[in-house]
Amino acid sequence: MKGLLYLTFNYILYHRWKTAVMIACLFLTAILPVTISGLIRSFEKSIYTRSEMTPVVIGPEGSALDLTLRALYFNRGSGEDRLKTISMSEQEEVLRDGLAIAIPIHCLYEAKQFPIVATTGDYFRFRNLKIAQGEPLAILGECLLGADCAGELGLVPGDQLLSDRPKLLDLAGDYPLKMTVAGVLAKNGSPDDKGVFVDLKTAWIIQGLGHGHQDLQSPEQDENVVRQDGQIKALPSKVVPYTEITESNIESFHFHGDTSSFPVSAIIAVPKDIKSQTLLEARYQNNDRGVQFVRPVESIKEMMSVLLRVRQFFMINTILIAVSTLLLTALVLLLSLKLRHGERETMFKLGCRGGTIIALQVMEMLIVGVVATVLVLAVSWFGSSLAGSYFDSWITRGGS
Amino acid sequence: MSSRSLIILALPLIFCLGWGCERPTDGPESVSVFQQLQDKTQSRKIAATSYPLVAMAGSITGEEYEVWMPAKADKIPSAEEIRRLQSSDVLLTNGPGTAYATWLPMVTLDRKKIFETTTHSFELTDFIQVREHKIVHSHGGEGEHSHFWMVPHCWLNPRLALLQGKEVCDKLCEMYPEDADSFRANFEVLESSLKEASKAADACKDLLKAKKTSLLLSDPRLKHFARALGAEADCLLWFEPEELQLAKEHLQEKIAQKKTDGQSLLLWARDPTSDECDLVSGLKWVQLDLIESPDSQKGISRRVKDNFKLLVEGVKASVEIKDGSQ
Repeated sequence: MKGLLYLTFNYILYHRWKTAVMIACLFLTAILPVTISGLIRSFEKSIYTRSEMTPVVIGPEGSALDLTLRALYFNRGSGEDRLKTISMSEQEEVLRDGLAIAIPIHCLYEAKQFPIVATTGDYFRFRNLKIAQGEPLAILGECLLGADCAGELGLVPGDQLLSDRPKLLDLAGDYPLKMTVAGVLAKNGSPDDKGVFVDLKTAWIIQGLGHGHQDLQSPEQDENVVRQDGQIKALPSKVVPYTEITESNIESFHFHGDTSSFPVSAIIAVPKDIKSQTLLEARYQNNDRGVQFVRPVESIKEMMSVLLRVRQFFMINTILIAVSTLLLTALVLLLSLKLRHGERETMFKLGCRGGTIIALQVMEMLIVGVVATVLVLAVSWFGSSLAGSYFDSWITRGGS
Repeated sequence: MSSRSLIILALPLIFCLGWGCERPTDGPESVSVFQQLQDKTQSRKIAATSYPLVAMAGSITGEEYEVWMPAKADKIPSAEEIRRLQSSDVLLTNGPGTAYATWLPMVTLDRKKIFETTTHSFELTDFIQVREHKIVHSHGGEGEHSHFWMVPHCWLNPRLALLQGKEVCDKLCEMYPEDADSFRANFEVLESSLKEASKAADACKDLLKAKKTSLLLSDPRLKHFARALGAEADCLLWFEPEELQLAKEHLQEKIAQKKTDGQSLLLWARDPTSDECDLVSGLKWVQLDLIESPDSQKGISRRVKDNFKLLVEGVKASVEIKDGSQ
């Protein structure tokens, strides 16, 4: 056996370019279908795991897939649909009779292009998100950063982060909020790693539904105002282009209106059991509140069925290419055997058995095949593992 | 071919097969997630936003439970207190219309843990609204406006205090069913003493009528107390000493109105400053207990009842002065 391997390796080393070309042929033929198959599998795994963990999503009428992606991936999408919301009072409808636990999600804004996700403490327990650094949310204006978000922005607890203006040129629009980073979440390999988590009330302040007041009469404001003829005017240069909630002004913050009528993007419902889920679904059939009940797994399956149809066409093409490559490889082998006719004869004359000569040829092919397979699998595995987090990010950014 | 070579050749195939057979991992069943989210590990820690609720909950639960409130009821709790609030089993609060802890909307708390003691038991007519004169401002399309202020000191009215106590008892019985019997027994004691305070209020009401005494309140915080006496008393709308000038004008106006019918008695919600004493000199006044902070000597129902005793003494003294002057 040792002699066989010795001879084969020496042959391969001597004919290194010929061997390299054969390995490259096999590698290039296999790499594309294997990698794409791996990527699709990785995408499926990523998207199905999250959707299976989220039994029900309740949100505004429209595309069920858009709603699913918004609730699961904080996808902002584009167009008018992304601004559609439902009333916070829907939470009470979900909670009624103890059929399910309701977790509201508000994701209309961004901070440095990372989604600002406003929710309640149940979300962190539901997704099993733990705090790696800092403290949980305590007061208005604080945020918790996902691990990737904190890493990419280089922020640690105590730092500040400004929310983005929804429209750059809309000067009269929602005022950005300067948030304080309370903590950073441990990485959990999901879209949550890229989120900026805040309390719902903080998001409503960004939306302009709540605000604070400055006491311009206080002497502390002397450098920011002009007092003239009994009137107080704020100096334009001293007006900051953002809202900041500080110890000194937090008590002046309040909301106009009933917070139960305030908007949320979606509500994740976790039903007690299948029966509760069915009863809950019945509540949303033919409702006139403009609210829909969606099972994320079904929406994702629908999307994946389109993707799988494309993959089937692709696989047929791949099989045809693979057959042609195998035929070409067989041809190369036959030609190689013809070329090595003299070599075989010499070995035979030296006393080598016919079986050993065949084993030598088979061993060479096996080595070529194994090297090509290992290369294909290594590249494909590397690509798939990189793709996992890329897919989450890609879906979050609305496929752009 | 040796076995080692076979293993070397077979490994990539096994890896390939294993990789090919990989399936998306199933997420946890929604049932178990529901249970996990519902799982309330009880710490027997009860938080409240006002002292009366602490006192009521404490008298219902006894000493086996930790009943507490943040150090300052009118200031945002410290970070440590917020974490303690977040880890408490329940946060007893007044509820909309009688909101006492103004910091509540500023703090991140689990909505499910907040229990409003006035939301279901109070009638609409039990709430008292006053226009807050302090902050007049303008924003949005509303123009210049001030916000309404809802009087939170409902516990000064024994009837409302009893309703709150009942709500607290029911909630605690639901949360800790194993101790429900002892909670109900403790509540009966609280209930009977608050009913006694109610009787004291009725007696006081009759006395005010007999002596033709009308009430003036230093500030709206006493409005629930006055309502327990069947009176919609005027208040002078001052909270802070710096509003003295405003109060002075208001007081003169009110006294001029009251002079026409019977005598007036001014009810104070706190120690008057020397300026304020000058302002109300010649007018009989009684200082009442807002029951906002603990008193190691007296329980909640005793303090509610004592306010009526103080008023009775004040009315009697006022009548004696009036008779003496005549």
